[in-house]
This record gives sequence, C-alpha cells and structure tokens, in this order.
Amino acid sequence: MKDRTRVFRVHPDSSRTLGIINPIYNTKSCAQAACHAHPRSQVVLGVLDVTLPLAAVDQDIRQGRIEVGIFAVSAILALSVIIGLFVTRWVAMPVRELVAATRHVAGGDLNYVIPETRDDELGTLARSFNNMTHKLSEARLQLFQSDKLASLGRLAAGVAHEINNPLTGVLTYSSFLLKRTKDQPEVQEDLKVIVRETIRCREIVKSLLDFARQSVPKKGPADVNEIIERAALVTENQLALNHVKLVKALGAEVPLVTVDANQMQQVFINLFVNAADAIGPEALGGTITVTTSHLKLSPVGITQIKKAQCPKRHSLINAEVRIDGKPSIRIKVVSGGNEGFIYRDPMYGQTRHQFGIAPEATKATQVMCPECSASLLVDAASCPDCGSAIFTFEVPGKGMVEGCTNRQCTWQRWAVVDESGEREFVEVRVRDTGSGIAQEELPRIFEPFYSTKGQKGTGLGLAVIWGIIDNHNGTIIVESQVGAGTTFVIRIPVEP
Amino acid sequence: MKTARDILVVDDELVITQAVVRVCGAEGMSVDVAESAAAATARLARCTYRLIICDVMMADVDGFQFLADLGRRQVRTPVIMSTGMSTMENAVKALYAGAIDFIPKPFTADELLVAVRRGLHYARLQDAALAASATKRPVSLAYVPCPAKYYRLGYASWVSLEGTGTVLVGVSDLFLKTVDAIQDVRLGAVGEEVVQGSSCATITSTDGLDHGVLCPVSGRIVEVNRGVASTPAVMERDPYFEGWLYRVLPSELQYELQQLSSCSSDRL
Repeated sequence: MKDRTRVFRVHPDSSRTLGIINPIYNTKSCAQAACHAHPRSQVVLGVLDVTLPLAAVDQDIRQGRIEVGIFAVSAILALSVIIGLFVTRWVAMPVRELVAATRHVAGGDLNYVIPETRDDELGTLARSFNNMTHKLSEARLQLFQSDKLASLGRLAAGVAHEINNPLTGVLTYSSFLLKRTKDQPEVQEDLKVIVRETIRCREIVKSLLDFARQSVPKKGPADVNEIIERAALVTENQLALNHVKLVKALGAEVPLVTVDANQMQQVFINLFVNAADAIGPEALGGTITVTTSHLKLSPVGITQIKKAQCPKRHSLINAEVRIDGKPSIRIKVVSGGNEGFIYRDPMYGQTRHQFGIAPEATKATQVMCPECSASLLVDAASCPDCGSAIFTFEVPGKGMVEGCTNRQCTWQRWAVVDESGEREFVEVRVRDTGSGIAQEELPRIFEPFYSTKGQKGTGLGLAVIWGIIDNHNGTIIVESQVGAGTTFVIRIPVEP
Repeated sequence: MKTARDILVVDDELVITQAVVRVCGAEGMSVDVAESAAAATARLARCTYRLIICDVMMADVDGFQFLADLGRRQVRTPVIMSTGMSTMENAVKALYAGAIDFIPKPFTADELLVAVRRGLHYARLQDAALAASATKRPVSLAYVPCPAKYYRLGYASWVSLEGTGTVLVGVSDLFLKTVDAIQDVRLGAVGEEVVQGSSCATITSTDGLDHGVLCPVSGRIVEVNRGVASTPAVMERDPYFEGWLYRVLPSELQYELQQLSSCSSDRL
C-alpha cells in the first residue's frame, strides 16, 4: 500500500496533494465476461490514479498542533504553579528559616533556635542545626572563659603581689602598735580590729593567689568515685544541716584518671556546698545527685602535645609563648635568607599557630630544632593536601607528629592519636534541685568575683573549679533551669 | 675592717623596709636598707651582716638570682626570703634554693620577729659550727645534722621514707636549736591533709613565741606521735628518731622529693 500512495506538491508553493494509484488486474470475470473480454494473457488491465488535495487536512493538523501546544503549555504552567506552591510551603520556607538562622549565628547570636516541628529530613536538619549552634555556643563559652581566666589569672597574681606590699605596711605597723600599747586598753580594742581585718584581707588575697596559681597540678592515678566519696564525707555535716540529701549514682566501671586528687576533691566539695546553698535552708530539703560514667569521644582537637623533641632529643616545648594558656611547640625556620620561630598550637588538630616568620613554600625552606639546628624536614614525603615539604618531631613514647611547612595549609598528622580511635573520658554530673541559675547569669558564673550569694561568697569558688578542670585538660559545662535546678557536667580525659 | 651590723633588708618597697627597721629596731637590732639587689651588693661590700631579708620580686634581679649570686660570692650570711607571691610553691622553691626561711607577705610584727630571731640564732650556730670545724672539732657539737637518706625542707623539717609507702615527718635539730626550749607543741589530727610548704605544726617556745613548722611533703596524716604530743621534750632529745611528729601517707612523693634537699649530700 505504501508503494501506491505518495504525497507531493504540484508546485513548491502549493499545498500538499495525496496521490493513490490502484492497478486493475485481469480477473476471471474480466476475461470471461461477454461484453468486452480481455485476452487471458494480459495481467494488468489499467491503473486507477486518484489525487486528493491535502489542504484541508493540513489545516486541521496545524489547528490540532496549536491546540495541543496551548494545552500542554497551560498544563505545565498550572502544574508548575501547584508544585511551586507545594515546594514553597514545604521546602523553601524552612530552608529560608535555616538561611536566616545561619545569618543570625554568623552575626554572633548563638542562642537562635529554629522550631523543630517536622519529622522529615528538613526536621532532622533543623535539629542538627540547633544542636550545632548549642555546641558552638558551649565551645565559644569555654574558649572565652579560658582566655579570660588566663588573663584574669595573670592580673590577679599581679594585683595580689601589689596589694600584699601595702598590706604588709598596714599589718606590721598595726601589730607593732598593738605590741607597744599593752597598757592602753582603749587603743588595744581598735588596733585589734585593724589587725584582724587586715589578716582577713590577707586570706582573701591568698585565695586569689591560689586561684591564679599557674602551676602544674600534682597528678597521679586516682579513682573519681573515691574522690567523690571523700568529698561527700567532708561535706556530710553541712549538707545534713541544710536537710540536703546526697544521692550517689557512681558508675561501676569508671576507669582511673590521672588527676591531682586534692584539687579534684576541692572541686567536688565546692560543687556540693554550692548546690546545698542553691537549695537553701528555706526549701526544707532537697537532693544533690552525683553520677559518674565512662564516655568515649574523638581525640582530634582536644589532645594536647605536652612533650616534643628533635632527633637529638632537645625539647621543643616553649613555656614563654603560650597558646590558649598552654606552652607552644617552638621550631626554627630559615626561609629566603630570614630566620625566625614558629610557635605551633599544642592542641593537636587545632591551628592557632603563631608565626614569627612567614616561611616561603619553596624547597629552600629549612625547618630545624632551635637548640641544635638538626633538620626536622621529612625528605621522602610531601603534604598530601598541598604538596609542600613536611616536618616532623617526636612526642616521646607517643610517636611522631607531622606538620606542613606551608603557612596556609592546616594539614597535620599524629598517627598514634589518629589511629587510637575515640578518646576516653570520665564524666561526672552533679545535679541539684535548687533554685537554678537564670539564663543571663550562666555565661558569667565561672568569672572570678561573680557571686550570687551576696556577702556570703567570695565569688572565687567556681572560678577555682574552672581553673582546676582546665589544668586537667578537662571541660566543665553547666545546664540550669530557674526553679528546677542546676547540673554541672565535668569531663576528665582518662589518658592525661 | 667592715662594719658589723645585724640585718640587711632588701626590698624595693619603702613601706616594707621601713616597717622592718621599726619593728626590729625597737628590739635593739641594727638594720640597714637596700632598695635593689645592686644596692645590697654595694652594702655587703662595706658591712657584714648576720642576716639578710630579701624580697623575691625586685626591679633589677629577682630574689632567687640574688641568692644564687651570694652563693657564688661565698657570702655565708643566712637569707630569709619574703614575697607578695606568697604561695607554697614559692616557699618550697626559696628553701630549696638555700634560703633559711620564708616569710609570706603580709606579715605581722610578731611573725617577722619570730623569723628574724630564729635567723639570728641560726647565724650564731653557723658561726659556732664554723669555729668548731676550724679547730677540727666535729660539727655535731653545735647541732646534730639530719641522718643520711633523710630529706629536708630548708633546714627546718625532715622526711624519712619507710618501706611501707608511708613517710615519717619531723623537725630538725638545727631548727630546734634556733628556738628557745619547747613549751608546747600543737599537732594536727589523724586524717588531716598536710601540704608541702605550708605549716603543719606549731611549736611554742618558752619565750612565748609561736613557730610554724613547714611540712616537707603533702599527704594525709595516718599517725601522730603521741610521745611528742604528751612530752614535747622528746623532740629535743631525739629529733630524728623518737621525736618524729607524723606518719604521713604521701600523695605526691616522687614529685615532691625533687624539691627537697638530700641529707646524704650534706655529708660530702
């Protein structure tokens, strides 16, 4: 049939024409008919050729196309509008909220919280976002405290020293007068007050100095549960007087930690007494719950490099330049004719290095021990991140630490720590049913001299606690709700 | 011939030096003042002193360096250190560096006088020991040094390791010789914590003065010597054996031994 039809144009400009040819075969009736019989040998008798103009059909097709096109376009548009509305409602708005939240957070408002109303991926995203800002604000607070307390500690030590000198004048002269005026009872009474109050000043300054003491704690392996038991024993009477019950939920399998047991005991005593004060005598009783548990967290960013040495065993640790209060690792760099020191961040995984020289990222840059100038460069390897030369130093007993000579590059590797998996911590929670701490006061409670107890406290207790925990490479955070109580969470690394 | 004076007080704070002049001067002692280590050195070139009271933090050199300089120049005058940074660490450090005593600032007139009197006694005993060695008589005529294998904090208190993990703590004969006869001893109780460099017992001498004994180690008291508590004179009779004060379970022994002087090396 296909061979017998054809579509053609009579003239290139004319409309299409359909031509159909149909051959007329010599059938039996044709050959035998009486009228005009055809010879039997003839096969085809003739051809019927029909030509039909397709102008009308073409018109219809065009019409149809336009209609279908219009329908399709309007259907797509309508569908897009509907989908668009749905997307706006279910995706764009929450994402916009997230974007707004990131702006708030970037602007410094870490208390911004997105409503976590949904159960889908966006809900999960909102929850992890809130979690992230929460952790970020905790970390920032910790960092802020650490910086502030370090500088306040130095300030306190300086101030204590300065105050003690004039105080010596007051105390020696007043006590000297007291000795020399034994026959004048009316003067004696007044002088005794001066001496007594000056001695009180001396005790305050002494506690300030104790707080400011930057000394290394005297650490040894100790059982946190045992320390808590001892602290409980010491505070027993005081708690009983306030009708406060101390509930101990001490974990059975808490590993030993390397701590200064005396200092840690002081931490718990302070926390228990604070909790009892928070509960108060008018509350007619309350409960302090202390729990201990064993915990595992990733070590990168929280492990301090405390010993570092060159191949000839000279120590690279520099106590004069401190980063975040911790002695830095000093290495000498000779680059482009200049030489200087780089003080590396002792917290492995962090990069708050201080550069006394800007090393060029060329082959000619030398990295060496400040003491003996032994090279620290690793010949056979280069930085996997940026391809620059790398250097290495030994942490005695804990393998090699490697770093990149490129100032812009943050790559570092400490195989022992990287491969050690998660780091173990002992977590202690001290929860009380006391009056709680107002949200706006929380960021300030670890500051020296910040006290909510008015005349009763010196405002040094929590600052001292913070200093001790920081000295043990631990962390302390506080969660509180006014009227419901406060929880202090302390984490101490199991490996020192 | 150098002028002989009693006390040289070295401090860059005028109020301190004047207070020392007033308090000690009233007791009839001759006191000179130097406001810096350099001035003190100049004074030492002109005069001899029986005792030096020296601040740790001074404008030019710190007190520890001054002490080391005195040692190098073989000045044998005993030194009492004093500082506004009155921490246990500084006390232990000063005593290890060779100071005979440590007075934390601020001090009362009595606290100053007690330390000065002991210091002057010490100087006398030292002179006697020197004179004795010049005549080849044994030192122990002046005082009994602490036995070998003991450790001492300054010259005042000693610690002796027992095989059982505990240590005995006591007061040296030299310290007892620098105070008048003992009238009374106030001791801590079993279970109490003691801290290296802070006072753990108070000895009252017959002249009515109170003398604090700085503990040589930190730890918990597990036993108090009842013999000493009832008859304090036991300490004077046998300061190193019968006259011990406490049996202590030390908390940081290895660390703290590094801050103590070994009595064995005294005998070399």
